[in-house]
Parts: sequence; structure tokens; C-alpha cells
Amino acid sequence: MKPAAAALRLQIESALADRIPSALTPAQRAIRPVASTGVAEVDTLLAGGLPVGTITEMTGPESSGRTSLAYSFLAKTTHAGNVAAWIDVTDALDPESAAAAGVELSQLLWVRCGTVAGHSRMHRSKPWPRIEQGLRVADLLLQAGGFRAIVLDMASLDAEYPSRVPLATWFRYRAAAERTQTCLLLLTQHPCAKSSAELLLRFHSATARSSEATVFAGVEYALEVERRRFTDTSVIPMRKPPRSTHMGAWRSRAVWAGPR
Amino acid sequence: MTKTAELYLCVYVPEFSAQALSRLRPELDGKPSVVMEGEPPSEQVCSIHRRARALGVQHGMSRVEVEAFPAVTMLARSEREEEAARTALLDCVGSFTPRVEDCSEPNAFLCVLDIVGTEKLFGPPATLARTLLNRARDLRIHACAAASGNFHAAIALAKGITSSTRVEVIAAGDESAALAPLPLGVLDLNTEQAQTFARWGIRTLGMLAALPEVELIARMGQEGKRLRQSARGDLPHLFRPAEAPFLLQETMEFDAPVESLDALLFAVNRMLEQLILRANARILALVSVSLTLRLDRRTNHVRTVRPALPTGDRQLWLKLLHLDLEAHPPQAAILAVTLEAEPGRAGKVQLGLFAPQTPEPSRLDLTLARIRAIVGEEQVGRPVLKDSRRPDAFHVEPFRIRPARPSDAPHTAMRPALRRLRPRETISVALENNRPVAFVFRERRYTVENAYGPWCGDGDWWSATLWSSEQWDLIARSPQNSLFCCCIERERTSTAWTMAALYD
Repeated sequence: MKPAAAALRLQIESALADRIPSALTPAQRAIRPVASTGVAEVDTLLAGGLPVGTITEMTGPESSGRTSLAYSFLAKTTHAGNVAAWIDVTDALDPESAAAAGVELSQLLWVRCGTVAGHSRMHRSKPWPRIEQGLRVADLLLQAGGFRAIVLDMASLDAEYPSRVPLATWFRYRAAAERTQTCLLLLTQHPCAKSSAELLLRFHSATARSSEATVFAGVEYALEVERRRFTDTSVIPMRKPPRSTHMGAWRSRAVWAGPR
Repeated sequence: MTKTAELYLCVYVPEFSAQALSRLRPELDGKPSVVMEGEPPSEQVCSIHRRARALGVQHGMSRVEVEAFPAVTMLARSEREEEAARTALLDCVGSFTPRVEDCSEPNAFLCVLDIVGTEKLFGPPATLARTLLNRARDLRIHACAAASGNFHAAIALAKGITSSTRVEVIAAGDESAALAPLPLGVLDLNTEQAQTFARWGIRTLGMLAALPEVELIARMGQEGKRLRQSARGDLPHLFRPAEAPFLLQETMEFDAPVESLDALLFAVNRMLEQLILRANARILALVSVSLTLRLDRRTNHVRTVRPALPTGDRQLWLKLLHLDLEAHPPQAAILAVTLEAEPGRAGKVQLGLFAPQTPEPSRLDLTLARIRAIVGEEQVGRPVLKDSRRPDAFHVEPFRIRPARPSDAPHTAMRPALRRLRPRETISVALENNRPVAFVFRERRYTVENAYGPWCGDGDWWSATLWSSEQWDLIARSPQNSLFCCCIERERTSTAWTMAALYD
């Protein structure tokens, strides 16, 4: 029965070949795993979450929500029993804040760049040694494998520094992340990984919430998906699809502001 | 009460001083060498490698006489290395039977094993002896072995072995015949006894055994009787077993002070190999390795490496020690190195089909050691919060993989994240009615839209680390009109404002 069905399908497909190529053979679809960020609005915008085994860039000015989203993603990752790493180029991670966001600190490897072994801290105005340390550490962690998420935090550096990192570095990271199925998050002020980044999220300047008169209540964030490397365009729908949105917004609420 | 049959196996290592030194020096393989003993310049040869013996070097030669042989390498005797080699050998023979008596002589290793009842485990005595000698060869020691029902006969036979098989087994009752052709040197004779027998023309054990017992005792006393019984192979012995403690330790003393790390690691590599070999013989791995360097300045430099899981991977241990020594180099030339290892059960990891992805422990150890070499010892680990209200109160602990069960993340509302500034940066703040209205940070002027505070806090007033500060949460606008949320702080005893953290 089966050979007969295959022969029939081949016959129909060859007859329609000039009008509809591969009429009865469904196109192959690559399933790309994603990991939830823990923020429903962002997950909806990204169709499930951040892509696994790739580089995701989060760019934007200070106070735009990059670190908050990274904490939220790490909270999801570490609570799933996975191990994550935070490569802190500017030594800015606040463990208390991360714990408040739900990050399991025992599952988080924190690498603080900025000191030469046995010497004092490097000066802020000369960040190149720190960046070099951060890149070498990222290389080692990506090659070691086993980390579900690695955050390379350069969010406090001026845009000119990360932009001067050779593109070959990001290309190497992309290959290593794909091999070890690691989510590599880059927190920067300006895009620097170019085509090596699977997803580029641009965070816009936020708006402060003024629901409380006496305490800092939180921030309303906004982000835009500026570039996504792979989109499923192999199937051409019969109807015109609804226009996909590229903008998302969510809000944070400080612990001391209490539930509302 | 019936007397059980006795069976002893004697393991004999001739020229033990030379073998103990060449064991950890692969560069001496195939080269003639001698071991010198005594205070310079009156040193004398105390142990000879067989190749040096073939060249004509003899015991008791002085340094000048040995220098006549240009190919011969002279080494200084090291009692520590001999002790380490003796421990390793006793450990090796101890894996066959717990009943071992150590009868070592000044320049030879000699021990006797009670092997009654081991046939079902290790086969006949000849097979056991060959297995044991192969195990000793792995330790780079060449030994010979003899088995007999009599303790002293086994020793005499082992000392007299000259064949290349290095194994002799005497059947019960054949002791006298087997010992007869051996020279008198295999017995423990003093100088006077040796001279007496030489004067009588007695050269072999067979000739000694044939002497009449009463007349021999009349001339030499009870010692004569003992020697005659030894030569006949029927001298009784009370076996005194001593179980040596399992101690994984190797020592090496260098001929000249070593300054290069590579040269040190070359020696450490060989020592690690021996330690792991001995641990593997007991189906164990190494939990930690302590490296003690004796330095030129009469000080010791001690480093201990302890990976997450016990392992017997020599390359991993060597790399971990290398990285640790690079981070903490010795401050003077090295005279001797001692490795002590703590044995333990090899780590077992039960992998689950649905277990989350985690790094491989041994590989992670190596990665963390490399990262520590890049950023510093205290800069890598997992953050642990302190039970304090002081801002930025935490410490960093070594990172370890712990088996964690997947759990749902607690449903917490999205929190604004803080980014700390370490060290804090000084800012200038403009106040109006004691409230901040503007500030200059990194040469940019920000206008404050909302200021929440002051939030005052203090603590540790009972100790020298007391703190007391005033904080403000600010919502400000940059010159480019973008939002800037931050936390500024001022010591209560000071008027200087600092930028403590940014909200992101």
C-alpha cells in the first residue's frame, strides 16, 4: 500500500511541478528552542523567549531595564536547576537585588573583572584590561560548556569600547554557544556583535512610575526587537498575516512599594 | 593441635638506594649511575646501578676513583626518597597479604610475606610472585622473589637469585638441596665469622650444612648452630607482621636548586603518576594533593589543591597544580618537593535523562582555576548574602555544582535591578530645602524630577566597622532627556555625596 501511495504522490508532484513545487511534501522546519524570560510581555513579543544556543544582545541607555530583564531570565534559568554565569566587566552586580528578583545565587557563578591578581583595582577610565579579562573568561566558560546562560555585562561601559572588540571574537562565541547550547546575553549600550547576534533587543528610555508619592515605586520599560536573524518564512500563507509587533512594554515594581 | 603448613615469599630489592633515586628520574634510564654517601670530599660509593657495575665501578670507591669513569652519573644518597620508595613498596606488597614483615637492610629492601591461603586469590606462589614483581616494576623498582616453607630459606634464596627469571620457588623439604650451591654471603655473617669460614675453606651453604653440629657449636657457640640451621633451611622463626599505614607520599630532593616551574612540574608529574598508581591499586582516587616545597631560604612553601570531585586524572592534577603555582609562585629556589595525597572514593555522578544541563565537575575545576589566574583568587565564586542591613553586604564563596531539583520560579513581580558602583563615585549635588534638585555625575548635569528620601540607616555601632548613612532615590533627566534613576548616598558624618547605585 505504501509504495503505491508514494508512487502516486510522486506522480502528482511531477505533474504540478511547473506550477507548485513539492506540492504534497511539507517543507522542513527547523525547531529552534527558546527559553522564557519570565516576563510575559517579552515572551509574547519573542514568541516564547530568548533563543537557546545563540547570542542575544540587549542594548540601551542606563536605567532602561537591561539588567532587570537579565535578572528575570536568570531567575527562570536557575530555578530550573540550571547553572548560569555572570561575567561582570564593570563589577556592578548587586547580589541583593538579584536575589530579590528571584535568582538562585547558589547556581550563579559570578566573575568580577577589574583586578589584576595580587594588585589593586583598575581605573574606570581605562576599561580595556577589564574588557580583555571579560572576553577571556567568556571564552573559557563557553568552551567548558554546561552553563545554560552566560551574561557578559558591559552595560556600564561607553559604547565606544565594546564596539572595538573584533568581530571574530563574537563569531567564535556564536559557534561555541551553538555547540554548548548556551544562551549568551550581551548587555551593552550600543550593538557590537553585529551579525553574530541572533537577536538584538533595543531598550528605550524608560518612564518612572509615580504611583507612590513617598517612595520610588518602579519603572515602566519599553523594548524593541531590532533584528532577529532567523524568522520562519518558509511557508507562504494564503492570507495576509497579521502584522507582527516589534515593540513591547512591561513594568517593574520595587519591593518596598508593596503589592497593589 | 595440628600445625598448619607455612609458606613465605621473600621480596628482595638489591641496590635499593640507586633504584629509589632513579625511580623518579626518568632521565637516568639506561645510564650508568652510582649513589655516593658521606661528607664531601670523602664520599664513597654505597649503591651501584647495574650498568655502572658492568663498567667496573665497585662499592667503597671514592669520588676521584668514580670520576675515572666519565659516563657514570654520581647522585647523593637521599634517605627521604628511600623512605618514600620503601613505603610505596610495602604498600604494593600489602595489597597481596596483610601479613608482611619488613626485614630491610642498610642498602637493600627486604620483606617477607606470609602467603598461606592466598592460592585461590592469586594462584600458585610462582604466579603470585610474578604478579607482585610486575606491580613493583610499575613503581619502577626491579626486585626478585623467592618462596619457601622456611622464612630464612626464602630470604637466603632471594638474595642468591642470579637468573633472569627473578623468581624461585622451593618445594617443601627441598630447602637444603636448593640452598646448597649458594655462597655464604647470603647469610647474615659478621666479619669474624666470615674470616673463620674462609680459613676453614667453607664457601657455600652446602659445605656449612655438612659440618658436624656439636663440633661447630663447640667452636662458634650458639651462633654457629643458627648459621648451620640457616644453611640447612630449617631455622625456625617467629613471624612478626607489621601493617604499614596507607600513606600516599612522595619526596624528591634535587641535586641543584630548581628555579624554573617547568622543571619542577616535570618532577611533580612523575610523582603524581606514582601516587595515582598506588591509589588505583586500592580502587581509590585522590581527594586532595598537598605540595610542599623546601626552599633555599630554609622555609617551606605549601600549597593544597582540592577539586570538586576525587579524581585519578594525572593531567588534571598537573594542570591544577600548575595554575596554583603560577598564581602563588615560591619566593626562592626549590631544594626538595614533597607530595602528599589524601585518598578517597572516586566520584560517582548519577546522570538523569531529564536532569538539567550542568558543567562537568572536573572540567569546571580546571576552568575555574584558569579564570582565577586571570581575574584573581577572590573574584570568582558564588555570592552569598550576609545577615546585615549594610548596603552591598555579601561575600564570595567557591563555586560548587550542587545537584538541584528543578522548581518553579517563585512568582515575583518584576523588580527594578540595581547596578552598584564599586568604588562609589563622588558627585556634586545641588540642594534646595535640603532636598536634591540637580547633580553632576561623570561630567554631566542631571535634573532631579522626583527625590525620595532621606532613608537613614546605621549599624555595627558596637564594633569598629560602624556605619551610618543617608540615602536618596532620585528620578532624574539627563541632558538628552532620557530617564536616569539612581541611588545617592552620604555618610552622616560627612557632607560629600556619592553615587551608590543605578537602577536599570
